Amino acid sequence: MNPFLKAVLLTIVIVALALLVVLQLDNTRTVELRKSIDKTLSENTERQVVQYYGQVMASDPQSQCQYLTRLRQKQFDSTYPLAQRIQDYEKNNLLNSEYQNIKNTYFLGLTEIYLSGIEHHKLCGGDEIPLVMFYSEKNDCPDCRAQNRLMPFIAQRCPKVRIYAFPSDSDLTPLQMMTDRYNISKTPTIVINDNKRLVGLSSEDEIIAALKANGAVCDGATVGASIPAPLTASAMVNASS
Amino acid sequence: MQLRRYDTETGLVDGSIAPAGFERSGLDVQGKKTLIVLGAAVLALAVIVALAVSFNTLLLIYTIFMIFILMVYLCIWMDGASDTSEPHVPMDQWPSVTVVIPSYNAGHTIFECIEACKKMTYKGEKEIIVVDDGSTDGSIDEIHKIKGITLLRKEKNAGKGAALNMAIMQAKGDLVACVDSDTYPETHALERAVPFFHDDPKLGGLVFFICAANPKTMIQRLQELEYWVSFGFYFKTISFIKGLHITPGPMAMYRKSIFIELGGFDEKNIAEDMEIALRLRRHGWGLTTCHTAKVYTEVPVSIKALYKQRLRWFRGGILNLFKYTDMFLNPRYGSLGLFTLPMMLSTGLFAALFTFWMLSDWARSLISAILPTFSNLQAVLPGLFVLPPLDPLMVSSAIVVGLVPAVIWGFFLWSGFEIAGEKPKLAHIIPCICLMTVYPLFLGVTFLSAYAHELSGQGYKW
Repeated sequence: MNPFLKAVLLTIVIVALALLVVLQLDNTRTVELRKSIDKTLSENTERQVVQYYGQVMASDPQSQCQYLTRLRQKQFDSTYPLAQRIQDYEKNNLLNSEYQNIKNTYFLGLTEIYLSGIEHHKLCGGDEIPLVMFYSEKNDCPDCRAQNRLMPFIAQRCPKVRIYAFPSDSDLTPLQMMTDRYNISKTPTIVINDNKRLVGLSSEDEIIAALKANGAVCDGATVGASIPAPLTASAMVNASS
Repeated sequence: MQLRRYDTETGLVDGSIAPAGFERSGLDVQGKKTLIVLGAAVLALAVIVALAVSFNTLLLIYTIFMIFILMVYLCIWMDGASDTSEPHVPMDQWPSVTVVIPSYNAGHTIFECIEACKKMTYKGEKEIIVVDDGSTDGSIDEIHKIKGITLLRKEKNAGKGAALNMAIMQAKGDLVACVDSDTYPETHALERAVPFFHDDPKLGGLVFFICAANPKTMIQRLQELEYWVSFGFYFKTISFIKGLHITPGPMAMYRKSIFIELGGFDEKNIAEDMEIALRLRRHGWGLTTCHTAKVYTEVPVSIKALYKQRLRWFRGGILNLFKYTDMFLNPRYGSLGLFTLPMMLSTGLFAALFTFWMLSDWARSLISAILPTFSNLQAVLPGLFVLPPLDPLMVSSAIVVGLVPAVIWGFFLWSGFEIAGEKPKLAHIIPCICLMTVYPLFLGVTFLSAYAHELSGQGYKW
C-alpha cells in the first residue's frame, strides 16, 4: 500500500481519537460548570421557599431576616468563583458549543441574586451595597478589562459591597431591561446602589468616594498591589479579550 | 579539462564551453521574482485568514497538518526505511577518489579536518586537494607544510562554490568527496560510501550522516539532537522513497562525470549544495544516503550564529525552490516533486504563519494590557499580580491535541538515537525540551525573516 495513502488513513484515525479525548475533556468541563450553576439556581429556589415560608407561616421578621442573610452569603460564596471558572474553561475549550447557554444561565442566576438583594434591603435593611459594572461582551473593551482588574481591590477594601458584572449587549431580556433602566450607552459604566452612575473607566478613589457617599464603609489605602485578590463576580469581563 | 556550461536560468545544459571555468547566473532571478511576490501575497492572505479564526482553531489545523506529515515519515520508516543493510556487491576494483576541502580563514579547524581526511582508509587511490580561497589568517603557510596533499590557491576570495569548482577541475578521481573545512569524517567513511556508487550506475551524489562535533553549549547540544533527527531519521526516510533534495555542504560525494555533464557548483548561490542536488535530480541522477558513515561538523555556538546560519539555509532554500519551480508537484520527479519540495515549502510557510499568529496574539494582549494604562495607570497595576487558580480541568484542549505530534516526534528522536548508535542521557533532557517547545518558534521567526530578506532583495552574507 502507498505510504501516503496509509498516512492519510492513520492521520484520520489519530485525529479522530485525539478529538474524542478532547470532546470528553470539554464535556467534563461543561458538566462541572452545569453542576455548579445548578447549585446556585437551587439556592435561589431555596431563598424563594424561605420567603414563601415566612409569608405563609407569618414567622417573626427578625429571625426570617437572619435566615435570609445567611442564605445570601451562601449564594455569593458559590456564585462568585463561578465567573472565573466559566471564563477559564471557555478559554481551554475546543469543541463544546454550550458556553453561551451556560453563561446565560449564570447571568440569569446572578440577576436574580442582584434583584433579591434590593428586595432583601427593603425587607431586612442591612448594610449591603450593590455595585454593578456593565461591560461589552461583543466588542473588544480594554477599559472594561482594566476596570475589572480593580474590582477585587474594591471588594477587599469595602467588605459590605457586593460586586456584580453584566454585559450591556446581551440578548437576555432582564439584562436588556437593566441596561435600559440605567441608561447604559458607554462601557464600562458602574452603577452603585441602584442610583449613582460612574460612566467610563473610573479610578479606585472615584469608586470608593462614590461608595462612601452611598453609605459604604471602606478602609485601607489606595491600590494594594500585594494583596491577593479574591474572586468577584466580575471576573468574566476578561473573557471579552 | 573543459566543462560544459549549465544555464541556471533555463535549467538546460547547452553544451557550450564555459571559457572561464564556471560562471553562474546571478542571485537576482528575474521573472521568478513575481513568484516570490505571489508567495508573499499567499502568505499575507493566509495571515489575514489566520487572524480571523481563533487561536485554538489555527492550532488544530496546524496540528492535523503536522500529524499527517509525521505519519508519512512514520509509514515510510515502517515500510523499510529503517533497514540498515548496505550494498553487498563485491568490489573488484575501487574507483579513485578525490577529497576536496575548500578553506577560507579556517585556521582553527582545517588542520584537524585534513588530519581526519588523511586518516580515512581507502583501498583504492585517494587524493586530497585543499583549496585556499584567499585566506587572510595565514593558515595557508601552515597548510603548505603538510605532506601528502595538493594545495591550490585562489588569490581573491570567491566563495565556496568557486573554490570547489577549481578543485574539481584538477581532480584526478572518478569520485569527488567535498568536505567542509570544519568537518571531520570518520575513518571508514569512504569505504562505506563508495560501494553505493558501484551498486547503482545512476547514482550521482551521496549524503553522509552529518553529526554535531563536540557539542558543548546548550545551543550545540540542541543541534546535536536536531541533526540526529534531521540528517539521521528524516534523511534516511526521505532517501528511501528517493525524495532527497539536498547534498548537505559539510560532506557529500559526487560522481565527477556529473560535473562534466551538468557543469560545476553554482558559484553565486548561497545554498550551492541544494542547487547541485536539485540539478542532479532534474537530469535523472539519483541521490542516496550512507548512514553508517558519520561525519562530524562544527555547529554554531550561539543563538546569533545559529540564526545567521539558518537564515542562509532558508534563503537558499527559498531561492532554489523558486529556481526549480518546474519540479514542484511534478510527477516526473517522483517523491521529490510530489512530497519533499511541497512539504518543505508548506511546513516552512505553516511554521512561519503560526509563529506570526502567536507573536501577533502576544502583541495584541500586551497592547490591550497597556492601552488602558494611558487612561488610568492605577486601574491596571493591581491586576498584574493575580495568580490563576489551580484546577485539573484547566488543561487546554488544543494543547492536548498538540501533544499527539509531539509524541510521534519523540519516536523519531528515539530512532535518531538508534541511527546514530547513541544512548539517551540525562544531559539530553533540557535540549530535547527546548527542541520541542521554543525551537520551532525560533525556526518560524527565522523563516519569516528569510522570506522578508528574500522579498526585499537584500544582499547575501555568508
